[in-house]
Amino acid sequence: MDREHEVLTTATQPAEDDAALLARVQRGDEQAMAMLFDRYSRIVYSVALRVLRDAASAEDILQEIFMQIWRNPAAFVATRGSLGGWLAVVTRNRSIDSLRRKKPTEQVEEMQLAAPGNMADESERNLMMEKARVVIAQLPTEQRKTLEMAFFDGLTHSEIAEMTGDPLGTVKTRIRSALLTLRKGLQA
Amino acid sequence: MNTANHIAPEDLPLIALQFLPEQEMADALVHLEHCEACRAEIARYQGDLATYALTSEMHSPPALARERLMRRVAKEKKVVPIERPQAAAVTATAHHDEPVMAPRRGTMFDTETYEMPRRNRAAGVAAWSGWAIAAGLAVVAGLLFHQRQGLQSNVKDLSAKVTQTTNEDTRAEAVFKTLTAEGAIQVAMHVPPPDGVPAPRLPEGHTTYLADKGQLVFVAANLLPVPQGKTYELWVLPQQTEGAPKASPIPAGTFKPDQYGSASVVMPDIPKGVSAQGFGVTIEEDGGAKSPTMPIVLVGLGI
Repeated sequence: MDREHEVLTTATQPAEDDAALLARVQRGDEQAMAMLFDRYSRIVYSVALRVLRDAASAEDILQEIFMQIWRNPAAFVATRGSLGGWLAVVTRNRSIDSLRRKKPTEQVEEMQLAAPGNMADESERNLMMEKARVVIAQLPTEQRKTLEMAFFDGLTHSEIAEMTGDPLGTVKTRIRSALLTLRKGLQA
Repeated sequence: MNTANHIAPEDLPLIALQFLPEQEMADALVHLEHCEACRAEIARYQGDLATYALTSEMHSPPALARERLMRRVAKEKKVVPIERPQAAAVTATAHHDEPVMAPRRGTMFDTETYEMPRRNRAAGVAAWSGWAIAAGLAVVAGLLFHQRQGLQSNVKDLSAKVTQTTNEDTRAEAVFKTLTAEGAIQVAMHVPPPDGVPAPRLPEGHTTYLADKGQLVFVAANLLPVPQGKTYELWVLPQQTEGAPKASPIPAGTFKPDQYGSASVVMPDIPKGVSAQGFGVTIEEDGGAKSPTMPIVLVGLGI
């Protein structure tokens, strides 16, 4: 079994747990909602705080996202991948939208997300975090900075190109290379 | 942006990052609808971004965030539809020349037995009356739909108003807390004295008063400490009306200055609708007095 297949296979295990909680939420089970909050609130809050740099705004996003789960748990389908991963990406998108005072965009949130690993399991999540941090620290500075500006600061490729004076194509390549290196690093 | 009918590899992460301009994004979405390969690749980039999100420093949300969420969750309790058993499959054998009927969806009337109407002249009238009822129901449904839209719009408006009011309340509360907080610094600004002349720090007080609501906020600075067993007392000096009996000063709260000489009286219990000519502060026995004891240590008359 190759590594990628292994990662995706192990990721299906917690998805069932999250799916079960979501099914209970669908039936109006508040306890299940509290369990999801306990499991993922740290990720959601931390990502929002990193983007918005303001505790009150980060909590607003946290509340908004968990209320979205409560109101419409069906919006997340277990086959889309890990709930933790989806929440991390949606949190980033919502936070950027909030920074830009833009209406939330849903189309990307509706897309599939290849499960990066078992985020429901705290120890595995911590291991992933450590691995990801090591890989990111080893990236060439330009790639690291470009990815950071794109993901956490929400600067578009055109804005980054304008700010850094680098050609647009270079910025695009840096973002893609950084993500591919991260993917490889986690599979190694 | 497409190469050989696929989205250019450099653009795939940009889609995941939501960076493509609106039109390009719309084109990409059309392509993605039919292209499994590009969809899978974007899903992988989404996974990479989720992993990258984890590199941010982890912080726990505020302790009360969970409680706040659960309160909101409890407020928006769900109405869970009761699951009904599936209608039993059609087991009766139908004649070949008769149309096969699909199983009817289960309803609360399922236990009742219906007798098929006999074919006669009345059946034609009944069929037409069925159409008439259907048309009537459609009209009612339309009206209900419009009514529902109207109600939804009202709810939206009310929600916006509630949010606005909540924000205003929060702000008012913050102003109140700022004015009354123990550690708050109160600074009065004056014309600076000439060089070399030490600035005198004279006692001063500022009052904001809404006569019709009987609401008052008083803030004082540079007050001297009061002797043991004594207190400062604030007075509302009512407007005197010609020909009417003289109105006495109204006590508006006692206070003692802190170590910096600052003090405040916020929303004391005073009658509503008293027009004030001014305000005064005296030194009284602890617990306050019913009428001011001279001298008045601070006084201010309204303009």
